[in-house]
Amino acid sequence: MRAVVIAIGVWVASSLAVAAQVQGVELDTPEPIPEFSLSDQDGQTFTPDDLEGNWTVIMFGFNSCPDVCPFTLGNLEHAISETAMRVRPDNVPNVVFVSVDPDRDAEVVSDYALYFHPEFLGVTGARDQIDTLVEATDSFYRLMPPDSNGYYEVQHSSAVSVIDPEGNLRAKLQPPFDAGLTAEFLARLQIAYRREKS
Amino acid sequence: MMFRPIVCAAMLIPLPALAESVTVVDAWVPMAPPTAMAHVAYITLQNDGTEPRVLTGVNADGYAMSHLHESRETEGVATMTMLHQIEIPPGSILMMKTGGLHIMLMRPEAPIAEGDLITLSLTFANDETVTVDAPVKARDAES
Ligand SMILES: [Cu+2]
Repeated sequence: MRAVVIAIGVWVASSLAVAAQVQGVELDTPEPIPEFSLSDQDGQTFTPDDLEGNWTVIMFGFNSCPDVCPFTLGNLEHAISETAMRVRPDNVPNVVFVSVDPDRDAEVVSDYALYFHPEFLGVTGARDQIDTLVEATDSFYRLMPPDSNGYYEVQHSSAVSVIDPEGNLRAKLQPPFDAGLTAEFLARLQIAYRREKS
Repeated sequence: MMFRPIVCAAMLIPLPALAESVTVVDAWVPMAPPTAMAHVAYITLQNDGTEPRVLTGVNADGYAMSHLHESRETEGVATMTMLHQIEIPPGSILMMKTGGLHIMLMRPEAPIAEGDLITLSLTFANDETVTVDAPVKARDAES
């Protein structure tokens, strides 16, 4: 963890709904995302330019992750749909799935993301570029040693990163991404952002 | 809640599979992106016997490899580990679900479609094999 001061906010729907809470970690000082360049399976680039002017939610994962990643992406899809009902259309976050496993995923990473929502973006790229974004979002991944068949597991952060329209990391969200509570968190985050800017 | 009827059935009709005391109560494979290089199966096993049963392996038709896996989240990091065995104590139910125990189906020979049946052969420590056809369903159909 980098030495950033963070405020932990837990939004609870009701005092009884212990399980149904969204865990959002809002950074006290937004952290700028440095230069990086990734691309989708057709070579379309994804760079800090794409973070400008819109909210972005970035999730790290890998395609050979049939248990947790589809669950996360499915929940994010519900959460973003819910958010779309609460914020202006141009404030609905773009969702970007970043594969940390380019060797296996480079050819199919966009198809994978599109499966969960027609507007989700799937990108990957050179190891140093992935690492730049991983580090900038205070995230983590590790490729495990391959077994005798050459098959390897990938460990990765389960949290997603929320980037503001100026390209600053502003919050992290922990799964399971309950739709209503995640939408509530994102809407509040945007209100706080606009208040700060006005 | 399924426990009682199945025990009664076992007493009335001693089918060979039931005589072995492990029953597959549920099995399914969630739909996956067409390009996914790994799929997953979730099964629910019930041990009506008096002895612990140990699941030691799985074979799935149409896949290069299948492993028993467990997903875990430790300090914000999602991991999957391969398990060599899963014990089902007597009188208990083992239910696999997202974020925990699962059967990892690796390198599918073809994409899957809703309604497909994936044949799983479960191997137990006593060399018994139980076969089940797991239907492919939308992930939302879970629960
Ligand atoms: Cu797995």
